[in-house]
Parts: sequence; structure tokens; C-alpha cells
Amino acid sequence: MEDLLKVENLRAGIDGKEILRGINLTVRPGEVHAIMGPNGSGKSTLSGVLAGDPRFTVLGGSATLAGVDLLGLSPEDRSHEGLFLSFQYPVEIPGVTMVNFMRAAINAKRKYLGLEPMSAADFLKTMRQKRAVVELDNKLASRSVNEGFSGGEKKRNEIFQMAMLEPRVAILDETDSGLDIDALRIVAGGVNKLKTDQNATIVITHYQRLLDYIKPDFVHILYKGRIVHTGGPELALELEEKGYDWIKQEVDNEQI
Amino acid sequence: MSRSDNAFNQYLDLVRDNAAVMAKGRPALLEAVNKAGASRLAEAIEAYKPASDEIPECRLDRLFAPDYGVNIARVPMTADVAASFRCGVPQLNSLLAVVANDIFRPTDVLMRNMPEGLTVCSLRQVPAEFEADAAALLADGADKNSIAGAISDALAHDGIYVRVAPRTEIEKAVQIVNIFNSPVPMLTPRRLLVHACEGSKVKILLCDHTQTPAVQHLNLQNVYIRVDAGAEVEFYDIEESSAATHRLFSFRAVQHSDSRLTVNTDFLSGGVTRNEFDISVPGDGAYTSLSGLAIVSDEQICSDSVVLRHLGSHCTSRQIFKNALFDKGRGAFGGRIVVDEAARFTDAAQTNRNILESPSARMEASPQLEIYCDEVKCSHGATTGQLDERALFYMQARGIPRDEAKRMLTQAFMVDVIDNISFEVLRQRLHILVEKRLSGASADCSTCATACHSQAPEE
Ligand SMILES: Nc1ncnc2c1ncn2[C@@H]1O[C@H](COP(=O)(O)OP(=O)(O)OP(=O)(O)O)[C@@H](O)[C@H]1O
Ligand SMILES: [Mg+2]
Repeated sequence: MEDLLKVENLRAGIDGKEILRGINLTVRPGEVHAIMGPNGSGKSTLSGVLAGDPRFTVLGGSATLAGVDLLGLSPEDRSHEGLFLSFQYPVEIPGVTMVNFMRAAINAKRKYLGLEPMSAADFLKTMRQKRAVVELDNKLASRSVNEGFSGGEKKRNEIFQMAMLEPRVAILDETDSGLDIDALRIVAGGVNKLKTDQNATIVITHYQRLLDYIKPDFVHILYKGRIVHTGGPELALELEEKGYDWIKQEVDNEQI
Repeated sequence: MSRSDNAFNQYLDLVRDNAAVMAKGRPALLEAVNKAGASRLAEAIEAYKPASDEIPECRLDRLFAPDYGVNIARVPMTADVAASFRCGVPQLNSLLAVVANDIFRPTDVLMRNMPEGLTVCSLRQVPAEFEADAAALLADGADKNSIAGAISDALAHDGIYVRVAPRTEIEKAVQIVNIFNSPVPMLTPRRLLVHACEGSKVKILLCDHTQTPAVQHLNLQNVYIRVDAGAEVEFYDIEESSAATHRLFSFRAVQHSDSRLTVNTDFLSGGVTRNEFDISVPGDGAYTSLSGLAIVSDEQICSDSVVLRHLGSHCTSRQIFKNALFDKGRGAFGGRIVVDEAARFTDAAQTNRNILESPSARMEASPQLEIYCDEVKCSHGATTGQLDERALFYMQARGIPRDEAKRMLTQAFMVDVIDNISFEVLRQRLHILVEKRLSGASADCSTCATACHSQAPEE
């Protein structure tokens, strides 16, 4: 089967400091990958670099989405090609309503694909349907983007946007943080509903709990800018039990 | 003779050389203004010194330097040009008057629908019963400290007098459309006097347009509003003119007890614009709201200066000015709030926020407070920054192209100024207008919020 996302020897940094030091990752359609790793190991940097966050500088390597070179595209075109990033820290945009924001996003994608803008009626219908996926309150949908949303509401809103945009590869950066137990179940359920054998999901998390709902096919451990360990779902359980010390020791010993 | 002397002296020479032409058919009201203006002008030229912190293009000696023609012989604009100005916006449904270059032309719609208690007329035709009132407004409203005020008075040959009788509420907006249409460079003295008598209510909308965009014009506009006790005035000013049209706008108002004055000024396009607001509040318990937005692009310049004088007690004032500067656009904001000794329990707030959307755009902001009284609540603040890069990236990550994301964020930045407008039809139109302007639609009259001269048949 064709690779959906292929990251090879990706190196990137910020302000002259190298953070990603050679990432290799292959994701095929229908798969769920989990990326775990200690704070500061580079998980958000990896997702930011893939999405085109201008703060980071790519130092080497490649990343393709269904064969298309991602690193040469603007962030908007990466989105149009089917990449979605659920932000660890979603941004508040006062004065821009969710409705206008989503309409602009949907119609920009349609334009990229050579389609006419969506009619107002279809758009509102789609908004309604997708809101239901994560049980997002209508009140939130009519407010400014993320403005005054609680931590959990922001995360729910991220998955709502994912539902609207129907990406081929979604990277969920700590989408579980800030969610209460019920919200976690609903949001994870939403992610599962969006899953097909054509798309793929990468979940970045610190906790096994999310993986009880979103079952990963692979679990990767990112440490000091490299994927140092890959295993099946049992690896997440092992981490939960033992923490990261054994991984750190393994890697740090090798380096000596 | 120095260059600055020349810039101003040409107007002094003009009135001296054309005394007979100007005197023809001139009412006593204007004669007094012309004479006072000419004598002040001679003195002001002697005393003129440009302020050191001014944007050079906004200096008066620069603004007046071109060899503009002045229509002292009162040659009317071609009839069909003026006749084609009809308000094509049924919802706006305003009481429309046109100032064709410098000559006041009421429309049939205005004359037929003039509500009881409202007077809108030329300063050449003030009804006898209001002559003393108009003369008092002319004298009180004279911009005595500025050379521009002296030139404006020396050249005045027309103007609009608006009076709202006591306790009369005018529901429809009085809309005044300033139009430049001249094949040769032209300076137009334009004057608007408004007297809102005790307990009255009125909305006034002033729109600036240029139909001959390639020709240099100077709009010398003078507005004076007297808001009597308990009266309410809303004044809106939308400038959408050409790069060759410069504007010197002097707005003065006086507010008596328990009155309300709302002023909103929007710069959508133009050349060099210098707006000066001077509001005095001798009354007690009055409310003043001043707001403005400017979208400055290309080589445009928009400079706003505000002086708000709180003289009475228990007054509240709110000011918010927002500017977005693109390309080589330049802006200035000078805001001064003066709280007099007697102005106890004043509550005054002023905000100025600016966004630089290009590395070559410039903004100067200087808010000032002068407080001579202890029991007051005053705040002011000015910030100049850039669009939020995190928000831009977030929007791009959702597929919104960067330029569109910038436009949306700029519009969001200005949204509170627009939402602040209580005149609903205008508010909605301004939203559309700002969106169009930001998406790069050419700033011609077809995009104007007020669509005041589309060719729709008159009802
Ligand atoms: N904007 C930035 N400026 C400077 N350093 C940064 C910036 N963003 C990230 N870094 C650094 O890069 C390293 C990796 O950060 P990153 O956010 O990718 O970690 P993470 O694995 O997502 O951590 P967490 O689990 O805490 O979310 C850290 O040392 C961090 O301090
Ligand atoms: Mg992170």
C-alpha cells in the first residue's frame, strides 16, 4: 500500500538550536500512530514543522504526503493537501467568528481543488453535522475563534475543525490535555468516527488513557529529537508503568 | 518671499484682487466672515511656523502650496453631473444634499421631505428668522488659531446651515455628499454649521468623493456643531476620495449640559488627509464618543488630532481610533484630553491602536492628558504593532491563504469601531466597505457604503 506520510531523516531547529535530529516515520492509510516522549523532546516541534510553522527552520531531510513534498508548500497548501494539526495550544482570534473562519477555510480548500464555494445552506448544514461529531455547543460555534473558550472547549473545537476539513493525515498534539473524563470519551469517539481506511491519525499524548479510546497500531517514543523506540500498543502500557528512565538510559548510554 | 509665504499669500492676493466678484450677491453674513478671515490671514502668515513633529506632507505650507483654482465666481458644476446624484440605497433613505465642488445643492428628495422642525439651507439663503443664529455659529465656529481657518473664512462663499428645532427628533439621516468634479486643480472651502437645539436629535452623514481622480484637489472642510442642553447629535464622516485629493478637515463642537455627541470618522481612501477635532464640553453630565478608523495604503497619509476639553462636571467621554497601515502608508494620531479645574467627576478614556502591515508603513502616536482636577477618572493608551503571527499561522494551517488571513485579522482588529456605530444601516454598509477595501477593491464610488450617486430612479 502507498505510504500516506513519509518522513525521512528530518532535521529542524529554532533560533539556531537543532531540535529534531533525524526523524524517520512512515504512516500508511488506515493506521493510527501514537507518539510519546518526555517534555521538551520535540513532539510539538515535529508537528509544527510538518504543518509549516514559520518559527522553525528545516535543516535537512524530507516529508511527503501521498507523494507530495510537504516542506516546499505553504501552510495553507499543506492543509489543502490533507494535513491537519490539532494544536497543543489553539490560538484565540478575537473578532473572527468561528463561522467566518470555517467558511474561509472550507472555501479556500474547495478553490484549491477547483470546486465552487459551498452554498450558505450546505455550509450551515455541514457545520451542524460536524458539530454533532464532538457535541460542540452551538454557542461556541457562533463566537470568536477560541476566544474565552475553556481549555477543554478549545480541544473539542480542534476536532470539530478536523471533522469539517476531513484531512488525510491528522496530527493530534495533546488533544487529551484539558479534557474532563466525559469530554475525553466524546472527543476520542469523534476521532474514531472520522477514521476510514483511507486516512491516518497521529496522536501525541503523555497518557495511556487516550489510547484506551483511540487504539494505536504503532507507538513511537521521541527523545531528544529522534524516534528512539517503536513498538505496538503494549509499549504505551510499559511506559505508563515504568516511565521514561529506562529509555533515557538506553539512549544516553549509546551516545557515550 | 519664502515658499511658505507664497503658499498662503496667493489666497490673500486672490481675495484682494477679486473683491468685486466675491461681493456680487453676497449676503452680509458671509461678507463679515470674509473680512474677518482676510484680516486674520494677513496676521497668521506673519506668525506661521510649522510644528516640528508634523508629517511633512501634512504641513499647512505644503498643503496650500499648489496653485489651486478657487471658484469665487461661483461657476456651477455641469447640471447633469449634480443631477445624477441620487441616493440609490433605499434602506439609507436619507435626506440628501450635495456639495458640488463648493456649491450647495439640496436635492428634490430633501426639499420635498424636509421634516417639520428641520432647516437645511445654503448660507446664502438663511431664512431671516435664523440669520442671527447662523451668524453666531459662523463666529463661534471660526477656526481662529489656524491659518487654514483664516483661508477658509476669507474664501467662504457658500456653506450649509442645519438647524433642528427644540425637542424635535429627525429620524432620517441628513446626508451631505461632497463631490469634486473639476478638470483643473481646485480648492474648495466647504462649511457645515449645525445647531441642535435643546432636546433635539439628529444624525448627520458626510461623504467625500472625487469624480476627477487624476486632478489635484484640496478639500478645505470646516464643521461646527453646537449641541444644546439635552440634545443628541450623531455625526459620521466617510472619506473615500482619490490619491490626488487632499483634505484639511477641521471639526469643532461645543456641548451643553446633558447632551450627547457621537463622532465617527472613517478614512477609506484619499491622498493626504489632515483631520482636526476640537470638542469643548462646558455643560455638565454630557457624553462624548469619538471614534475613527483609517485604512491607509500606497502612499496615503492620514493624520488625526483630537483635543477634547472637559470644562463641566460629571461628563463622560470615550475615544477609540484604529489605523491599519499598508505599503508606504503613514499615519499620525495626536490625542489631547484636557480636564479643567471645574470638571469634577470627569470619566474620560482614549485608546489608539495601530497595525503596521508593511515594513515601510509608519505611525506616530502621541496621546496626552492634561488634568487640572483631582476627582477624575482618565485613561489613555496607544499601541502600534503587527498582526499576530500565531493567529496567522493558525488560520493558514486551516487552509486560509495568508493574504486572506491578514485581511480577516485586520477587519477583526477594526470590528469594534464599526460595531460601535448605532446607525444600523451605516454600520452594515461599513462592514462591507471595509471588507472590500481590504480585499483590494479599487476605492471608487461604486464600492462606497453610501452608494449616494448610483443612478437609481428617484422615488
Ligand atoms: N519557540 C521556541 N523557542 C525556543 N525554543 C523552543 C521553542 N519551541 C520549542 N522550543 C524548544 O524545543 C524543544 C522541544 O519542544 P517541543 O515543544 O517540541 O517539546 P514537546 O515534546 O512537545 O514537549 P511537551 O511534552 O512539553 O509538549 C524544547 O527544548 C523547547 O524548549
Ligand atoms: Mg508539545
